[in-house]
Amino acid sequence: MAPLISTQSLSKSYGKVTALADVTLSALPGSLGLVGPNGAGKTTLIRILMGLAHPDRGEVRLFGLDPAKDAKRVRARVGFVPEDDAYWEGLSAVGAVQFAGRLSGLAASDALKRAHRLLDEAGLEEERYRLMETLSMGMRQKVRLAQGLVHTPELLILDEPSRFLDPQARTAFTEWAGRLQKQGTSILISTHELGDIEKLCDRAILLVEGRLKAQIDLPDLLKRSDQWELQPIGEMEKATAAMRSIGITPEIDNDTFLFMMGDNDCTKIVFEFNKRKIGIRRLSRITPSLVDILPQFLSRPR
Amino acid sequence: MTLPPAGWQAPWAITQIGLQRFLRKKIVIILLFVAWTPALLFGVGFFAMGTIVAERSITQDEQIRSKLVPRPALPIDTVKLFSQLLGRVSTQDIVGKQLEELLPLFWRVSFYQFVWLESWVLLFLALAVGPFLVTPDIRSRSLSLYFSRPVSGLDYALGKAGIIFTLFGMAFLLPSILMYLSSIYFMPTNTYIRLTIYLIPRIFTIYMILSTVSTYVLLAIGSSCKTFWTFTSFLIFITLGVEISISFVNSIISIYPSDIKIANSYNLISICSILNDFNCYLTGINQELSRLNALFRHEWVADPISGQMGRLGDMPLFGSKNPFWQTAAAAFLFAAGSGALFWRNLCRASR
Repeated sequence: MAPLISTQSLSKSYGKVTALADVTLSALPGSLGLVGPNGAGKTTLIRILMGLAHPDRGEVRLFGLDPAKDAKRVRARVGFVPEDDAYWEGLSAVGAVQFAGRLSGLAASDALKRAHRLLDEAGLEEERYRLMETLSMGMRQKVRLAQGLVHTPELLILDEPSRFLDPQARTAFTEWAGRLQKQGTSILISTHELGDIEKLCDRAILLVEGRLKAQIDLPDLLKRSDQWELQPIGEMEKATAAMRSIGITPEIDNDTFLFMMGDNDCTKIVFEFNKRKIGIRRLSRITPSLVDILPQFLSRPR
Repeated sequence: MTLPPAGWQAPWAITQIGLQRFLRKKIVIILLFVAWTPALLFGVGFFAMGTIVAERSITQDEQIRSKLVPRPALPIDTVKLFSQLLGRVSTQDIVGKQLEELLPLFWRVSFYQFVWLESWVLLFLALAVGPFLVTPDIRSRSLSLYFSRPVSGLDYALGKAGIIFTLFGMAFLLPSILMYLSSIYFMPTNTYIRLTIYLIPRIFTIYMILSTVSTYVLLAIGSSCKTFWTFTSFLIFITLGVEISISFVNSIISIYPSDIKIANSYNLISICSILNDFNCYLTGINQELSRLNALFRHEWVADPISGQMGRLGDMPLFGSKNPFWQTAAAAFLFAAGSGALFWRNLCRASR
């Protein structure tokens, strides 16, 4: 399968500030998360992908096209939700979504139908007839999401999509994005909300100070976790002794042991506890969150 | 695969949406109404006079008509009075003239003044529209919404230019055409149509020059500043831009060859000359005298700034001694400079 996004030694500076330095990555169609601290170069990478900024060095391809040379063809296939609270003054919500559709080449009537459907899905009822400047920032963000989707893009690029959304709207947004993925729309999401990345993305790209720190395959990484928890039945002292006898020194959290081990050690524990006639209420792998994993990558030298 | 839209679609959408927004503004509607008023008034006047000439032709015997020159007292006096009120017609121009000779003169004078009036309306229209053309897009950060779609900087500029061209078309081109059509209606013979048909392309040329220069300047200044400063800048710069266009208009449409030289020698820089003309129009002060005064006043303003610029009409400019092309070249140079400024601002704002 041809990569959706590929970059080769991509570099970009703004004066003396290095925004991207020698970034080489490749991503297949699907959902991709872009994470990193502020100033890591996430927005610059997005802008280069959209053809809105040009790299100083290196190559970039989106759908196999050069965004700088084929900007219109690339942008026709991409929906973009910017991080700013950007909106068209003097237009109603439905008018703004329709206008976005028309700019992408849809006929006015088709764009209007799609605008109403998307705003229905976004949960904007009568508010859709209000002027953009009178809507709350959360409502405007919903309108921007609808604007990004009105022309049915192959790739949706979201820069801090849940920034202005309340918790309820955030949940609705992740459900909505999940449905889009099932329909075959690829998603590139740049956010500090690691929960959104976990829920929506197959892969995450970690950028730090303009450099590519890691490309993380999220399902594999989360499965590969070595942290387990065990809740024994009976006396904790006996259970602790049993654990130590097979070389595991657990942390104790109330009536639960927390410890690190490989998959093969699982049978050892069951065997040892059975031998000592200690019951096991629960033995399970702890699924870590991206928040737990990310510091490991951040602390690694390049 | 999603294909990019056809080249005209994005600019057309930007123009349409922009027009919808501007036509909801009361001031724009009022200015359009004001722009149409003189055309309608002149049109009604032409229609009334044309009716008088036609009725007279029908009711009189052919033989009598060939020997006698019909002189209904009221119409010819009215035409003389109107002609003098409109200015640019000296007493010797109308003394002893017959109605058939006076009507075309009246038409030419009317048309000249109409264009002059429209220039003012366009100036105010530019002021009403300009600050809201690009500044809101920068203020609400919506440039990223345009340029993340298959919309280039050129599409954006064309779309915004389309707004100015359409509004100026509604304020100037359409009433001008109406003026022309209603004026040929009252002409005594069809020969006048043949003699005046050149005005149609000239009206169009004037419209294109006015719209192009104004568009570039409006976009340039509108993309440079916040609304307040944009508005203030317009008061200074747009006035100059429109004024260049007005001198261009003068050089095309002037009925007196001497006007061309005089118009170019002082209209290029100073708004006071236009204000002076406006005053003359209202008060009926002798035109030649007031023009000389304006020329005098202008020279002491312009000379310290640009040496001999006060006498542009006397010196070769841009390789041409023809004032028409001098003014056109000056206008386009102005537009090109403004266009470059707009492009720079657009690139900076969309970063």
